[in-house]
Amino acid sequence: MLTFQTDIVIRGKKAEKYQELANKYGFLLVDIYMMSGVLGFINNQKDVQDNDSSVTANIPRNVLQSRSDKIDFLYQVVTLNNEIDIDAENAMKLAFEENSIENPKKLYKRELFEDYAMGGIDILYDMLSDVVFDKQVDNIKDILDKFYEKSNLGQKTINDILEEEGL
Amino acid sequence: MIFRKMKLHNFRQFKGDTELSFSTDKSKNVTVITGNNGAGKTTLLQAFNWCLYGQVKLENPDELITKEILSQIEIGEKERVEVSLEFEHLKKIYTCRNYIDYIRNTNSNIQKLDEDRLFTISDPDTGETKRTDQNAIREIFPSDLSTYFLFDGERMQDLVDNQRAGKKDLSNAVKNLLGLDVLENAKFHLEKAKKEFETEFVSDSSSRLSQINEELKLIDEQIEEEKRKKDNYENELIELERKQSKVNDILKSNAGLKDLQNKRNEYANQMQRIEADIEKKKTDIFKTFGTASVNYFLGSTFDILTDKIKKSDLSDKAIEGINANAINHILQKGECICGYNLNNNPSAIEKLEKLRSYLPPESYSILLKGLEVNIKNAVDNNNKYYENFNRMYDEYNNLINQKDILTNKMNENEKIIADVGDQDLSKYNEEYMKLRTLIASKNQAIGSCKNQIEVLKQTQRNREDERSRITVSSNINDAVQFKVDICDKLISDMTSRLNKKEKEVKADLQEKTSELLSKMLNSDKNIYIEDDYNFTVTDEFKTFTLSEGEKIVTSFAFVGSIISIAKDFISKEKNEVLEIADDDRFTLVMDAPFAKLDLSHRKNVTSLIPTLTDQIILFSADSQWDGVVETALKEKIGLMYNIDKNGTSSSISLIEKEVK
Repeated sequence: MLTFQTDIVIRGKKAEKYQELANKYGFLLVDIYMMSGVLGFINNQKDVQDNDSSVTANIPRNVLQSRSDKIDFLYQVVTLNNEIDIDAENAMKLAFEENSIENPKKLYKRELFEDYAMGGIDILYDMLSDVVFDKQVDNIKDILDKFYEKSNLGQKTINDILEEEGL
Repeated sequence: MIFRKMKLHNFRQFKGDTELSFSTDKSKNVTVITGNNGAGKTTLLQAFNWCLYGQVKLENPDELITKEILSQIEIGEKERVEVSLEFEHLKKIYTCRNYIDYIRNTNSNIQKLDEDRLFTISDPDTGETKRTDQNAIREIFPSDLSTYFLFDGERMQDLVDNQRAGKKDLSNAVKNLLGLDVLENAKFHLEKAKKEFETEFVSDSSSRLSQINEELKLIDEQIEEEKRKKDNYENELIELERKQSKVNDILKSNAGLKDLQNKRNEYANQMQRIEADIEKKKTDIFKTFGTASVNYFLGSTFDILTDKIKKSDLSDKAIEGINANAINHILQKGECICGYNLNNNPSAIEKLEKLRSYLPPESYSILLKGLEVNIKNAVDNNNKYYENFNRMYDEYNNLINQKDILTNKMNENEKIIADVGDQDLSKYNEEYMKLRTLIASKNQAIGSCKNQIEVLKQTQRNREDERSRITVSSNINDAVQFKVDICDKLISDMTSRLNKKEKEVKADLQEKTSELLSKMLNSDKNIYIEDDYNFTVTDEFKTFTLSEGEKIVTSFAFVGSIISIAKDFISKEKNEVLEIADDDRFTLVMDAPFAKLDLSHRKNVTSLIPTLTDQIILFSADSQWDGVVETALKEKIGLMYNIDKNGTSSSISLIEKEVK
């Protein structure tokens, strides 16, 4: 089982975006973290934090722990997807590696996801921030419809999706 | 008597000289004066009262001179307010002038200098003009002329309200017609004389008799005091009822607005609820999006990943039907199932150990199986999530539609309110409730006075009985009794004569009003005036409840019949006294509430107005002088004026209008 020994602390401009979306939509920072990681991954967009602003966004360890199953699932899917073509066995090791209090090292899958989460926040922010108040719900509906068309929930074949996503 | 001309000089808002003539043409007997509400119609109407009787029913009745003029008087200078009326009576021309002079004294204070009423009479045949006194006017008009000819808006309303003020007005009209005030005065003095005589009785126990007389005198004073209090309360009650009636009128006329305002509140509440629902739905949508959309975003990669796993050699390396326990057993035994000895072959052991890692229970395939389950669950949840989101989105849009519909309704309602004229009605509701409480307390006070009077009268009777018991028979007492009896007889005769006459005039008023009302309403109606001057209207079958419009029609009918009876009565009296055939004409000045008439009655009533008497002077609000009224009267209008505000100045003037 994945164990979180520290909070996730996001700084700088990325943190500003995290806070703005949290305030505007009432999202939890942990949810923004997960959405950003996934969006960063599917768009292949990684990034790092900056120190351009003193703002921080702190996702407490206990919150992370309470969502650890879901977060680990995301880590696994992202890591496998990312690494399986290179070395399947290694991908398995990385995706299913677990840490513990005795072994407090930072996991590869977590670092990978966090890179995507820093790249993905820009995408999520662009999708949600610049929307007038009474168009927020319609905008969300448009986003979901777009993903519905893209995803395996629709009628498209895997090849169609691979092509669209450039994978 | 008909009016020919009125001149005003600095009278209230009418700064400087204002003159208006009244139509004396028999075929065009109507003079119309129109003006906006507050323009000065009431002031003009009260100018008649002030000129003839020295009284005005206006706010600040002492401030008669135009304020602007008063403020401009220099020290030592004088200014005058004056109204004069010229009228025609039995072919003679009379003028009545009332004026007050004001001066600014050396202390810079305004001082009333001179106040006088002057009367002149002139004979057009001889050209002779001479001064006369008020008695000459009294001869022309019995006691209170205004009772018959001057009807302001308030009186028009009071007449039909069946409330104290209206009843008093009708009763006064009847009593004035009979000259009852004089007779009632005589009755009062006779009763007083009787009481004086009664104190002259002598008795054996003269000390007790004088004590009783003293007590009776005191009781009399107390009764008078209670009566005075009761009269005061009744007058206050009239004012309160009048105010209540006005407030009630406002509330009734704004019943539509009240409904619209209620609707406004109801809409506002609905809007509040819808907006709260929208906010809640929005929060739910955001919350669902925040927690569930992550798998949804990831969903597009699930098939890719599954495909990649299939393509990798991870699952190929397992051997179907063999599990990790079987490998463990082989390794423990040190011999393969084919009989090959493993102990001497470390590479074979390594190969088996690697194979074990691909097999259940602790193998990659187990982990992948777990992942597959998670992915399957995520896919299922994504389908549910999309359905759930679409349902919430539909509900959200439904609420937005409801809000749009409600916004349109609110806008339409506000537009109607703006057209009607928005105003705060709650203050009128409060005022109405306050007046109701005050009226109840006045009624209670009147009741208590009446009780007190009854108690005092009972004591009075007891004392009188005692006095007659102890009064001894003697010549003195016989003489006193004779005087008392005479008083009783006179009082009794006078009372029965007055009652009889009052009954006759009331019956006449009843008949004439019924006749006029039937004409005005175009159907047979009967008015029954009760002893206390309450009246009921009946048609062929039953008591008829009057609508607001019909009440005003009834008011017109009362005015018409009062003036008709007055005319008959006065003419008859004149003929008896002067022994001449009287071709005198009568005038009627009234502020006509046309707007309160139902549209269906407006034409009927208006066209009957010129027939009510010989000369009609009609005041009307501009807004009420509509097509129906104007058309019904146009053949009968001799002169027409409009009261006009002089630009931004506070004074007003009359403009004679062309009669179409």
